[in-house]
Amino acid sequence: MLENIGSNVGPVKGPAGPGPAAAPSGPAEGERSFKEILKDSIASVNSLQQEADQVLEKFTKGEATEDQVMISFKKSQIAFETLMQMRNKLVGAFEEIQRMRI
Amino acid sequence: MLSTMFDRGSLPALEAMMQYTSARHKAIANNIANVETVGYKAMDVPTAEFEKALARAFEEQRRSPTGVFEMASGRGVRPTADGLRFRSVESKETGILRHIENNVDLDVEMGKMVKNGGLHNLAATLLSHQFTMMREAIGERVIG
Amino acid sequence: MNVSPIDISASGMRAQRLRMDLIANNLANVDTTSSGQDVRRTPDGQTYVRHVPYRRKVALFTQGTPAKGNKAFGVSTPKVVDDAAPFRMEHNESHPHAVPASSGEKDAGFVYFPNVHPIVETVDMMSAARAYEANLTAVDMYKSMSAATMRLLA
Repeated sequence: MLENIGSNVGPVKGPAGPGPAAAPSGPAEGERSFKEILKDSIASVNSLQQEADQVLEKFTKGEATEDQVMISFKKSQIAFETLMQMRNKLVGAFEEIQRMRI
Repeated sequence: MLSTMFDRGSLPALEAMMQYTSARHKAIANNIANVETVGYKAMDVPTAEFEKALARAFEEQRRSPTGVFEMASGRGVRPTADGLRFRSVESKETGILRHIENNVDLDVEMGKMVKNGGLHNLAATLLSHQFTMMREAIGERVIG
Repeated sequence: MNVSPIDISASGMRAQRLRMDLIANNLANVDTTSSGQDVRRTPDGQTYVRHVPYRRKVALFTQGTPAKGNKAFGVSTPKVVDDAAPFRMEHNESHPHAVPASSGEKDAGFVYFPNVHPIVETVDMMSAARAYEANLTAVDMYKSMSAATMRLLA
């Protein structure tokens, strides 16, 4: 579903973020498509979560410290929340555009 | 179906750790309470066995197609319907045998207690993170 | 029957406090040369009084909390037992509690003092205080662990 949003809105300048969607236009040169940025974000949230799990396992074996576990868990949480915010803004923007058409 | 979402990721491992630390605190508190009891021998929860069972469960989780984490039964650690059950065994970290046939070393027990408490609170904090993320995913919103 | 960690530590605190009470009592009576009187007769019919000094009391602890039906966790209210160590003797005929000469006993003229050694009691007192504190710390630790668990609900 997240990919579909990307294809409807079209490419946007700069990093994905808050704000209303720009009017659909052709992809700018050297800019990555929004869809790609989103996909990357999802992948990195995933890998951060896996990393956190791995650090926890290392900790139980005595190969990682408490701080390392806390930090990696927190990182994964923040990345997840960032993704969640991005997704919500996107959905909101999408719905706004839908309303415009009608 | 809903209950299986708690078997994934680090959630079950953290739960197991908290059950372990709770059981261990009871044993340590008992050692401290019985520091002057004639004939009393220090007790503990089988730590080495628990760590081995935990490591094995992580391994199995990695290899399992569903990513399910499960603690196996071992000496002194037994998964039951209400969670892990630990058996109290004779501690390996004792002091000298005093004339009242008691081998509790108060300093050793205090050290164990502080470490154990720290581990418990760490697991609780991490578990709290996991629960928060789950609720955020469910509610499609970021929680404070 | 299941005992909570608070009960375990509380029983420990109670036991050590009672132990400290006994120690304080021992110290208070370190010079009590007459805590009881024993009226005796000499072979020729005369009566005399033999004074019995204070005997040191010791706390005996047993594992378990019988009140909660648990035999393994906690420590029971200590039993008070007498220390069977012999009394200290001192020769002092003029002491009011000395064994009278009229008794004709072999230890006439001797005073018996309690089998309490202040230094031993003081060391015991320090050990009891330390054990009490340790149990208190265990309660604090459990409170902190419970709070961390409660925060999961937040």
